Amino acid sequence: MSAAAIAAAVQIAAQAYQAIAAAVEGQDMDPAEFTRQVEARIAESESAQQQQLAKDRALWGAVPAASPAQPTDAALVQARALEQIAAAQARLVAAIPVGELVLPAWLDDGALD
Amino acid sequence: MWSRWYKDWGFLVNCAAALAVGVCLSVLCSCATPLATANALSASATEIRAAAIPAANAECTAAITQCKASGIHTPTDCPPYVTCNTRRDAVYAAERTVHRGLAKVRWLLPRQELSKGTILARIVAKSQDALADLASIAKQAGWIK
Repeated sequence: MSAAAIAAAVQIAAQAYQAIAAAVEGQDMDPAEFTRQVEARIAESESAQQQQLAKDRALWGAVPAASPAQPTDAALVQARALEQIAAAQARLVAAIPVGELVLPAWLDDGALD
Repeated sequence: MWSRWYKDWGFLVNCAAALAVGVCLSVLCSCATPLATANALSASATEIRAAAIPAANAECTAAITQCKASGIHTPTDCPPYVTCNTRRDAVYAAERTVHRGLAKVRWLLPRQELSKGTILARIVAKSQDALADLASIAKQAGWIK
């Protein structure tokens, strides 16, 4: 077996691995579909949380002014605001077409949520 | 001359080639890509949250019952409920941070920025931190073992 044949075998193996990995990980999936699936996970998490908070409110009785769904301290208010900003950023970047070469500033300046 | 050399050493050369291919494959397989890591983190986040939340809900409900029995009818005046609800909110928020990390990694993959590798690593690290926070909060609360 020549060196060229060995190199070719290694290259084929590497390509096969990359193709399998891409399929397994979802890299070959349509980006919009992938984003939709991730958003579904996020929505499921939010829905589960809201449903339980609604049950809590029912247990407490009518307490619209101090609902347990409301933040309980400044840190929580800030955390929720940051979460909403991050969600908006994620929706924004998902809308940018593939092929755009300019890196979004929010990804490059350490402002990762 | 080549055939004689190959007859003498061919077996060893073939073994070396097979070994080289095996080593290369094992190296490739051992290097988890950022997307694979982010996928695994996202799945773990859902799994841990799903395991922790039933206990969290039970604790919050017990806190409501306890406070109402002692005459407290406002959530914010009920410390056990505030603690439980804040922790539960944090668990959900951490889970969603991990999921958003996966979305970011997937978004960056087809793009060709020079610093993409570093940014992907930072996103994955952030997701790992969020998952660790999620597990830590849930364990500290006794919602998971």
